[in-house]
Amino acid sequence: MTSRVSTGTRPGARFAQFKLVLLGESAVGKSSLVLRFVKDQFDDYRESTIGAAFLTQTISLDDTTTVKFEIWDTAGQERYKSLAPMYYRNANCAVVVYDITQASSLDKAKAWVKELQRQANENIIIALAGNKADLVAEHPDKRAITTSDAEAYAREAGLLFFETSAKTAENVRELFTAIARKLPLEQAGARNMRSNPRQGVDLRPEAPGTQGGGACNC
Amino acid sequence: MESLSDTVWDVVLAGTGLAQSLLALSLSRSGKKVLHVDKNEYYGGLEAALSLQEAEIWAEAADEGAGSSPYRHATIKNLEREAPVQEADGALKLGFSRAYSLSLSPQLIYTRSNLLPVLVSSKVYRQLEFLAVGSWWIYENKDVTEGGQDGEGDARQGGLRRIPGGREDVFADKSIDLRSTRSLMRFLKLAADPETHMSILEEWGNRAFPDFLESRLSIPPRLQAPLLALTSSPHPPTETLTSYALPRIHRHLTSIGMFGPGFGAVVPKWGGLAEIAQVACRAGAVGGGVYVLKRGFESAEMPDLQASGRNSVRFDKDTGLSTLCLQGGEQIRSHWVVGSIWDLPLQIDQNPGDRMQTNYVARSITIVSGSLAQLFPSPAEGAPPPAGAVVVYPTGTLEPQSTDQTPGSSGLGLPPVYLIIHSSDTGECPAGQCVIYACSFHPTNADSHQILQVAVAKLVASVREDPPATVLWCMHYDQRYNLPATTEDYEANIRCDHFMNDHVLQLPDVVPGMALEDDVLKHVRAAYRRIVGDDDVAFMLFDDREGTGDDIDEN
Repeated sequence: MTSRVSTGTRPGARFAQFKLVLLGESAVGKSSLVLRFVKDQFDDYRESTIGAAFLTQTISLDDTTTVKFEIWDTAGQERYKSLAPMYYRNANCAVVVYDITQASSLDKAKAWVKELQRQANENIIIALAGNKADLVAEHPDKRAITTSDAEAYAREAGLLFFETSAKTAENVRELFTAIARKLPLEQAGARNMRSNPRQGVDLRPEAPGTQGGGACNC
Repeated sequence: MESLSDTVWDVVLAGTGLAQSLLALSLSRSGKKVLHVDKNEYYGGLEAALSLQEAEIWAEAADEGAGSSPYRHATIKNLEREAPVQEADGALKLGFSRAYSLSLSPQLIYTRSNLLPVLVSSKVYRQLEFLAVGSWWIYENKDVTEGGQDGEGDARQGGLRRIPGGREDVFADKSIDLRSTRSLMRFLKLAADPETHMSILEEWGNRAFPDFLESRLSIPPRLQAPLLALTSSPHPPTETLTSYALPRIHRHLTSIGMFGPGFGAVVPKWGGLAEIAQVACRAGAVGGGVYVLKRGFESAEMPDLQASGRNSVRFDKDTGLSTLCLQGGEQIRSHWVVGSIWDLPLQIDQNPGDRMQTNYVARSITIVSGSLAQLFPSPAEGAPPPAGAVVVYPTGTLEPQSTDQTPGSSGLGLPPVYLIIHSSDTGECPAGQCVIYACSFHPTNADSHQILQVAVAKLVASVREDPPATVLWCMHYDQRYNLPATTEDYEANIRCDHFMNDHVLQLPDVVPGMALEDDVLKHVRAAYRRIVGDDDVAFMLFDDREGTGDDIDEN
């Protein structure tokens, strides 16, 4: 796992970084979910994502605990199924997305869950997200997958489960927060904080905190 | 998304080995349309990292892959399966398949390597973790250790001695007499100063390194062995030239301390160079590159293509486009085609004469119960805890007792055997175990696998551990290699003479030695230059992508 936990500057503060991969059929709204979570935006006419996306977002779980997600989105290249293996390699968590108005998209999601359980980290945290809840709120007859069916499957497979709407932001933050709470912060923390917060080697010539680590490209 | 054949690609990269992946990274902000394919269903090519299960499949393919892969004679021994440990648990037993990430490319990266600054400037270092390689050890036989002043060492069958990491260490080493200390100091000073190298190499360049050490600096044979070990020379001492040895020792010495006290090399976490290749591919994908696994080129081994030979890549002079056929029959068109010799649609080993000149390196990967903590002492105050260690068996330490029957013995002795040990901190094995990567550039290969096995066994036996460390699993194989390019004309090195088409570039394989050599990146840069035009000032100089910066530093 690529998790990194370290003590922050404040006493007792914890910072942890986790790799998250987003999987699911084309057009179920994977990129929209990320966009909502990271930038709090939504675009109704978003075209199929060109290339793949990589974004980060940081959330505070409580006064002392900060979790940073590195989010890898396979958007646009589902057909070749070739990005997923390098995205879920060493991933700590995965969000498998389906569209609650498309019955077949849950089958696809189940196939992804199977692949993750077979190939990814043994203790990867997987969340199932039934997206496009807004469509059903307006037109209940559009629903193709009942909440209880999906919930039952998620329970059986040991997944976190949410019905989400990237458009209205319903349950989006809740989804990622639930994942963050389930991640093994304590374990990773205990292991890494004991000796040296940075066990690894810093390749940057400048000392941390100085210019160079900054991200402003405006 | 359009189909692969509808798109006119700017660059098609074949194979996801380190070199192609770095090229994909370098092109990830160029706006070029890149298609990156690999005939394997995993990333990394010759630099891949494998789970136990993947290793089994890999070994089967490698064993019969003559001609289409650089491997041969791959065998796996699961010692636990042969003699299951009853009631043992935890680290004493082989873990589950995915708990392992065995690297086909465990090479250490010197902190002076040209790769590290590029990983920083291209911002992909944020996805990588590097761990320090601490101590270098040399194996000494009993008679040698007793010849020293510390004759009391329990050297029933020899033992390990730590190679001094610098001047302070040399002074502190009580087994070195004063005169030799002075000679060593003279050498260290000279080796660290590249300005003196030119004149030395003029006179001594083509002579054996031990000859130089003895005649010029009066360094006695016992102290030559550690210096030779630091060169990582594939050859026995008498065949290791001063021109080869001196720059490498210079690299070793000047690398120490660059990123922190006490260490001069690093290894990436999670599977060696495989991890760098994957991170580079991910950056390629984020930049818009299309990735397709299990799809190589229709190879020239197809009977109908064999006859046509050179026609597996059709070049249209007017459009400047090459047309190739992917496995499955899809035709693709691209301005540039880049791959390794194993990925381009070539006929390899057609000429039986080729085989004669082919060099092989014997390699093995061994999983050991026990952390071998003794090999990983903290090299200096404030040094990051080392996760890698090196053990060198110099020529003469592993020869069978009856030396007259030594294969390939022409009085030179066997080439040295090199071991890189990765602790479980690398994420390559469960805690409490470690992985030993061994290699030897054995010319005859007859019993080179056995020699590697002996080297590993001696190491395991010489480390005190409770319960004693044991070998759980090992894989042996041979890997073909070409010596590093002797010319500095990197543009010429990447020319692919098999095609009448100078838009096909061939990236040389990463040499399966001890350390990653700088020519890998130089070849990548040469390819980048060909593809984007002469202006390569922007090579690997990227800003953080929007929304991915380090808004909170973990420190």
